[in-house]
Amino acid sequence: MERSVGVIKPVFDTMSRSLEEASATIGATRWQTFWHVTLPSLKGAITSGALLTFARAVGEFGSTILVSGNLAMRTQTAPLYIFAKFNEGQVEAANAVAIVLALLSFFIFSILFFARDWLDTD
Amino acid sequence: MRPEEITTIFGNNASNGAPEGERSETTVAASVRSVSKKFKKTVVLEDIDFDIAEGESLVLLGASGSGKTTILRIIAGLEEPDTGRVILHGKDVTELPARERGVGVIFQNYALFPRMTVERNIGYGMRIRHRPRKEIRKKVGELIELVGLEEHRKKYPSQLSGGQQQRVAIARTLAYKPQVLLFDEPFGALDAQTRVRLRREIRALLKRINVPSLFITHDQEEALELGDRIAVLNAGRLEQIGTPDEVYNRPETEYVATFLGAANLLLGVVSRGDVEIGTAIIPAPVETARFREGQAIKLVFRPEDVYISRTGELPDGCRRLTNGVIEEIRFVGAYERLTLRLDLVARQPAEGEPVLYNVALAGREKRTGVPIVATRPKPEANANLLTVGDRVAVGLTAFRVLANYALASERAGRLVDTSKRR
Ligand SMILES: Nc1ncnc2c1ncn2[C@@H]1O[C@H](COP(=O)(O)OP(=O)(O)OP(=O)(O)O)[C@@H](O)[C@H]1O
Ligand SMILES: [Mg+2]
Repeated sequence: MERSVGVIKPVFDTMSRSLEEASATIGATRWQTFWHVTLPSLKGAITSGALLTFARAVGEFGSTILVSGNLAMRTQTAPLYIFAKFNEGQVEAANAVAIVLALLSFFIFSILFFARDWLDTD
Repeated sequence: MRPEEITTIFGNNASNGAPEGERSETTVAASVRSVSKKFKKTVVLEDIDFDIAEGESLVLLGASGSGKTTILRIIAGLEEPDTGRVILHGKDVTELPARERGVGVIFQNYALFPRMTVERNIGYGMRIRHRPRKEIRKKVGELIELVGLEEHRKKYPSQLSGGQQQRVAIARTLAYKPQVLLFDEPFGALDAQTRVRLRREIRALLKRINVPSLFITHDQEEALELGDRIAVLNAGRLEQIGTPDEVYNRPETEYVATFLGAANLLLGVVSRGDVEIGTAIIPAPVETARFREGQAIKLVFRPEDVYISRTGELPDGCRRLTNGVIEEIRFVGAYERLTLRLDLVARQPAEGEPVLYNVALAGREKRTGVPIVATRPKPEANANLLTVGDRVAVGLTAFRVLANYALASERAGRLVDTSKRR
């Protein structure tokens, strides 16, 4: 997650900041701005952020399984779960968790977007 | 587009917000009242005060870092002032967020939405206000015609030239009848020729639609051409506000004189209605009336106000400064530029006289005599040929006498609004 923020944040800070300000002066609410301006112009960045996060999660696979094992409901991370289910041939279960992961990322990402103003003011 | 059609776009030219009664009695569209702003500990704006009249275009002129953008952002509601108020059409909007102010900002990079076509960019303000689709289509059509972008309506911003993008940005704000238009260095990103063409186009457009506007620039030529009035900003303070003629021909401070075009500066004192510059004495009872006897002053004059005579005769209304020698002559396109060395000798200061009495020039050269710069238009230069080494009489057709404050703090807090004094 921290990785995808690292990719998206610079985009937030430069170009989209002035677009958001333009949108605000035109009369848009924060939500309208997010929906019509920020999200469309972040498509590329969101995709790459998601990909990098995914890559990172898969990359952590080995160390997670070695350090903490793969105990269901205890140390099993989502990727390990996906891996386990996938191995057992339960592709639907694996997909379901993957989708939950994706939605969760999006949700956290949105919160970060709205929280940015407090975070920025030192 | 004909005037009556423009009226249909803008209604009866005025405002969102202000109640009927207040609107009719004021012609002020926007006011900035005693605005100050600090970033961390740095003072960026100090007690800024000005009005933008209805239909007026005011130019905020100042060097880089003088606080121009900060003023614009405070009016737009993108930045909060530490003290002071912002008033739009009689309504105090200081506490309102940007989106409730109804101000049109044309950002330096235009800030067009990259994934929307020209049409959708222009219609954005109406879409988010949930106007009916038919109304949006009609208005967008009118605005596209107004700014002359008919062939480009389906294009994306990246497919447009800088000038076209700028027109989209303007049309996008006009769609919601802005109370005031704010332009941040609108021509900064364009080449010199396009700049000149566009600022004339924009000026003509603004005069037609009659929306009050604030321009930001650091280019004096642009300021003189665009502004009905010019406000000169220096390090977070307003030095002077006035018409182009006033700030150029009657600068109130040395900063204004030198920032708007070239100016010669000579130090002197007031003595019995005369200006004494070293050994030269210029009768100036009117100009010196506001100074006390013996006060240190600066004589400020533009190169084009220097009259050069080989015969020693000066025309009526031209006051003799002293004699001098032509040191250099250059042709600079439309006019001739000369450097003259005046026969001015610094007098030894008498007992108790301020040291500033000594003649000096901005250049701080140490040679005897004082260099000044003069220009002559081509016809004059051709009719009265001069060569280097000629001894001439030097007169001034116009000049200003400014106080020579020894301390910066002496002149602090002096806002000079020449437009109000008339
Ligand atoms: N958000 C900010 N945080 C801290 N300092 C700022 C901020 N915005 C502006 N400043 C400072 O305030 C001063 C005035 O900045 P401003 O952008 O208003 O100048 P400007 O006149 O528009 O200059 P330019 O012509 O270069 O655009 C500068 O010294 C700048 O560094
Ligand atoms: Mg600026």
